[in-house]
Amino acid sequence: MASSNLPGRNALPVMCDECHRLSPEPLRQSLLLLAVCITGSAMLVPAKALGDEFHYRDILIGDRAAGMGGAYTAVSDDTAGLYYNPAGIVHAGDRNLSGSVNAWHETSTTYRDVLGDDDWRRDSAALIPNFFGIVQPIERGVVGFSFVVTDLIREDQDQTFTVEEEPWEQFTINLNDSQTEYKIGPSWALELTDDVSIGGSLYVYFREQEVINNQLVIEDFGNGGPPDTEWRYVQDQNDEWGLRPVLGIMWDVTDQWAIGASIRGTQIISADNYNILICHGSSATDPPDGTREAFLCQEGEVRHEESESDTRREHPWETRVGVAWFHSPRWMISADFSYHTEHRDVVRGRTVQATWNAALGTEYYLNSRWALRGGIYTNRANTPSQVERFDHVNYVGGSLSLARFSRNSSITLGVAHSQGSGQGQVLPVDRPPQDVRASSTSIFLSSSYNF
Amino acid sequence: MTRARGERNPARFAGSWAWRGLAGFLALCLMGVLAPAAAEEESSPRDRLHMLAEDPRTEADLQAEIRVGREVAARILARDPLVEDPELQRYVNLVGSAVAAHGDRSELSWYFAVTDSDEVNAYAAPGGYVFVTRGALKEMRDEAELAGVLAHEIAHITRRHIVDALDIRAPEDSPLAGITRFFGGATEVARVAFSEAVDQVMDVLFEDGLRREDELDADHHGLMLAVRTGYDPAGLPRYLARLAEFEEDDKDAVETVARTHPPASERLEALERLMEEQGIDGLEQPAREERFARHVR
Repeated sequence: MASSNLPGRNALPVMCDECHRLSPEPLRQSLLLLAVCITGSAMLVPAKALGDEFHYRDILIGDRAAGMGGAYTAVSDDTAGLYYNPAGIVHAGDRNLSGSVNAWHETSTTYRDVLGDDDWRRDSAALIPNFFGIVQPIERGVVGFSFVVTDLIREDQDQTFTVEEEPWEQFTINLNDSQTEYKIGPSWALELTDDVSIGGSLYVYFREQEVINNQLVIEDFGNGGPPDTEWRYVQDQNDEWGLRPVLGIMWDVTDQWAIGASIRGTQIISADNYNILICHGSSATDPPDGTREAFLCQEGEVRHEESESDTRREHPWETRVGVAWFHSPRWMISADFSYHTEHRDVVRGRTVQATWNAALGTEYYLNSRWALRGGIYTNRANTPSQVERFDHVNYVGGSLSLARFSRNSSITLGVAHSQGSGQGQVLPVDRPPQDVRASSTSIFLSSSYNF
Repeated sequence: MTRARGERNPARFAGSWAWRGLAGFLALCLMGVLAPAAAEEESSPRDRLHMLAEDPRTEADLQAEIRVGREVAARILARDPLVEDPELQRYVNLVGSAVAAHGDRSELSWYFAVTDSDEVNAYAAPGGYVFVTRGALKEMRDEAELAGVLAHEIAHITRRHIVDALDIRAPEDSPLAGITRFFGGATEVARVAFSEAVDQVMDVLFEDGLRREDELDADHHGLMLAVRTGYDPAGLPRYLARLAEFEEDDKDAVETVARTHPPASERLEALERLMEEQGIDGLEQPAREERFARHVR
């Protein structure tokens, strides 16, 4: 955190992650536009969250699977199989397995030239208990239980921009975006024949999201009087839970080839959507001629609005198909393709586009103690390519991990990085879309144990 | 849109990065193509290399085997108590210890006992615990048959059939395993695994049985063990022939052994082939009927 006092003024304390001194117009106008847009221009338009309902592969799940770019539907023979394709866990054999993954996950999105000639950047970073799963053979089949965190955003942005001219102005943007999507539930798989198995997981799905945005504008005319202060606070909260069944099938075509497929969908049982706006206006952003395109509040306005609803969103159906080729116990390669259907998100007020993703992964044992894994994958947006309100960025990613095995356990250190470019709309819709560059990095430490 | 000199086009930047990722992936695949496969030839391609590696057994593994065997023995005795005949128990212990002494697991302390059950059966728990039922003893005619049956059970232990089938080993105490258990929330694994292993051994002994090949292997090595100890090689085959008659005429008496073993007739054929191959089918070694009769009848 940086702190500075501005000499010659009213010595206002400034606490910010980033403090910028920038040139005046058109920056003043840009800041106002940005402030209005990211807090939502009306009660029915929620504040813009960084993450990431716009993609389906934000965090790679599992131990071996994450290192292979998530290309795991036709492999799925360990605890991560509970998530990718529960039918595959019959290949865990007669062992009891437990596996867990912890990951450091960070994302960054940069909007080009939003603040005059300057970029505006949003960051999130968090340590995630990404996955825990346990598998146990029983008399008929194999059972398991898993906990999966499929998306997590922790954005704590605190920026102050100062415009050095008369009147002196200071814009503070304070943005907290907290989102967690996780699933927890049991699984069961059964070998129908020597070559074919089926399985299912019944996840309870939770999503919690809270975006809090504070905008403060201070305008000082330097005449010794108190500065004009304008403040706008928006809190947007969406919590929902439901059921997310996963059905899978695995077919061992030959000793070396396997095909797997799974289908999953989410039925929301309960949702709680809450929105509050508090606004205290002044003349700071509301010039007498009324020519400004945007303002936080009108002069003299004091608003306090709250709304609440239990509107339930739809979620897409997702189909995954995978193929794996097992060259030998030393080397294997697998590929996945997934398709997500189009649906309507009534809370965000948008049609979520259909999209697809692909992944390719491989594992190679250097010896019986060390294995190297690698993969490439896509993380494509479910937003329209003709950007209206929400960013459209298609990611391409790669992952790499190194696993060390001992007799009953393994530990894996890996990294997954994806990045992409596209367009976004953090300024009002009558402005041209802005270029966006985004990246996401996860460093994961995972362990598995069999007994 | 115009860009400053030296500024990277985001789309091209992402594209070049993707190509580098693809190149790395292909390099990894190339390593796989060049992989030596000799060590894995006998395994299924779906197996994973680290699971095929042979790990030498440690003193801790031995202690784990004995602990599991001791607990299984306690459960067997809770099910069928000992025959209250100290002289009979001493005799069976002497015969069993003599046979076991010719085996190759001198690190074990051997315990032999007769349980009070009418059923015709014998069991071996890991770690050196061997049981024969009163019903089985009743069907034996001489000490060579007793030695043959005990040798079969001893062979299960010396060949580690149950230990290998259930992978009974001590929990790893390496730093890596400790870290793994910590991160995986598996700190209670050792206790849970011990309890499960005992349950599984009981299932193998009384419900599921071992693999057919393990039973035939125990017959093979048991017969050779009895011969090395100095007993008539035909002891175990004679007993099996009687068991085969039971399987025909009185299935209830041999219900468990029939469920958990291959048919006695099949075992008998395999032993006759073995004796012929080894040239011991005519070997004259004592059967010790009188001594057996003195202690058992």
